[in-house]
Amino acid sequence: MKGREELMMSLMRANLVETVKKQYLYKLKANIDALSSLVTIQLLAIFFSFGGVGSSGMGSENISINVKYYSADIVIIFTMIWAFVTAITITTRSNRNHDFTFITNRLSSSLSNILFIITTVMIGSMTAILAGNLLRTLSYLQGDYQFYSMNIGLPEFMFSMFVTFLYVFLVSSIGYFVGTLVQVSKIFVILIPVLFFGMLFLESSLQRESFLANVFQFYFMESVLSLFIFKVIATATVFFTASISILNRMEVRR
Amino acid sequence: MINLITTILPIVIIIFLFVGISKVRIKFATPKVTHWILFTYISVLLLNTAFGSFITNDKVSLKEMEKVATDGELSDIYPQLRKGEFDKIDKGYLINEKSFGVDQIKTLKVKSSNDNDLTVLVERKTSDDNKVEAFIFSSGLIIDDYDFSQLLKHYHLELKGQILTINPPKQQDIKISIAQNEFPVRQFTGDSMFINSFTSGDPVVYLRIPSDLKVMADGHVFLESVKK
Repeated sequence: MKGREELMMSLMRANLVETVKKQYLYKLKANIDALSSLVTIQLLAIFFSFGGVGSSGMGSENISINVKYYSADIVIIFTMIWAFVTAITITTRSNRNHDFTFITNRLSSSLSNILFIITTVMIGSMTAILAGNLLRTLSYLQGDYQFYSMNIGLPEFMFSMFVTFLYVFLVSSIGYFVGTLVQVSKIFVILIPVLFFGMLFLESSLQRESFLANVFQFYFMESVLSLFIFKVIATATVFFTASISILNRMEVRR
Repeated sequence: MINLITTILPIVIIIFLFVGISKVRIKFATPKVTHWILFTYISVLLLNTAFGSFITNDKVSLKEMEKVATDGELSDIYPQLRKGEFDKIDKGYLINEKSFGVDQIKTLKVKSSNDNDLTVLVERKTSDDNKVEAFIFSSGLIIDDYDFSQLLKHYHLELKGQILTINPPKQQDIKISIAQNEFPVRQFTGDSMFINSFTSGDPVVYLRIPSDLKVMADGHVFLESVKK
């Protein structure tokens, strides 16, 4: 009789890996629409980039030179925004409640969320860089401009995709943290934008170096790859760990 | 080899995606519209990657272009030309040279076909070989150390009777589109998003004339004697 009870208990104590896997697959299926919004937002970014992402020129008495630049910069920025919003969305109550259809705990829910985010970020980064190739072809087909291209082969493509992945992953970790804070208290819906924009205005009015500019420099001006990888992974780990511990403290089905 | 990989790899991925979606059909009845949107979008992007390089086969790779040092701009060679120091000037600046027989001419009139002021350097030879040698020097068009000089139209010289006409090209509108690496790559390569330097200047016309030939300027042309 005792042995039978132990067997029942061990069956109920679901394996964490199995639960995470099940939840992850479920989330991939349930949140597939996030990917159609990715397609929409990237198409919009391609449309905005169609005229070039920048231009410069010079002129003199006999000559005028106009240079247009094409790259997937806008597509990547839009993908970052999409990743931020998607990461917030996945923390919403309706999404969390779906987890209770499985034998679950907060940890397995968070881990499956992170796996889902990593998957979508990978797809987003890959399509963003591929969209850059599409922009190159479109700019070439425009015809009235002499077309020149930087050498962009498979190694550059893979490298570009990897670094873009890190950036989008970083942004989604921030989004996940923001989403978690909002789940703790709705006051963060107002507090976070107020803090963000308030800081921008305050620092510009005080005419001192902006905190956000420093943050920007910390990541975007880093020219050593290993250091950049370390910074991104460390930051994302901090945000995800903070989110997991906040969610762990929350009541069940709050 | 890398080109072959970039062509074949996207097609292989498309096949895998298609097989994946077909499996979704078998396992979960019908795939959602989102699956097809995503499949179509990724397929278009991959096909473009595979065949885009064939479409843009006459594109010019910036890295294959000649990178030139921009230290010696035309303003630097002008003083040397004024002293007739031909040997000290990089041959890359000489874009055209022409020789005209002037055995029937006592006076050469130099004129320009447009209204822009033009200075012509004139070197008188020590001998009388009845030939006018014309040289055109140009700093070309250097954009961020890349030589785009092939896009420039050059001065054309013609001698009719005793009139040497310099025909500068009409107003040139040069339009260039440059496909750049994305900012996550530029961050590590140190490439700039925008062009930092343009170098271009009006060409200089340099004439070597026989010792006894008289030379006159017409209209907007200013003659300057080379003092060796």
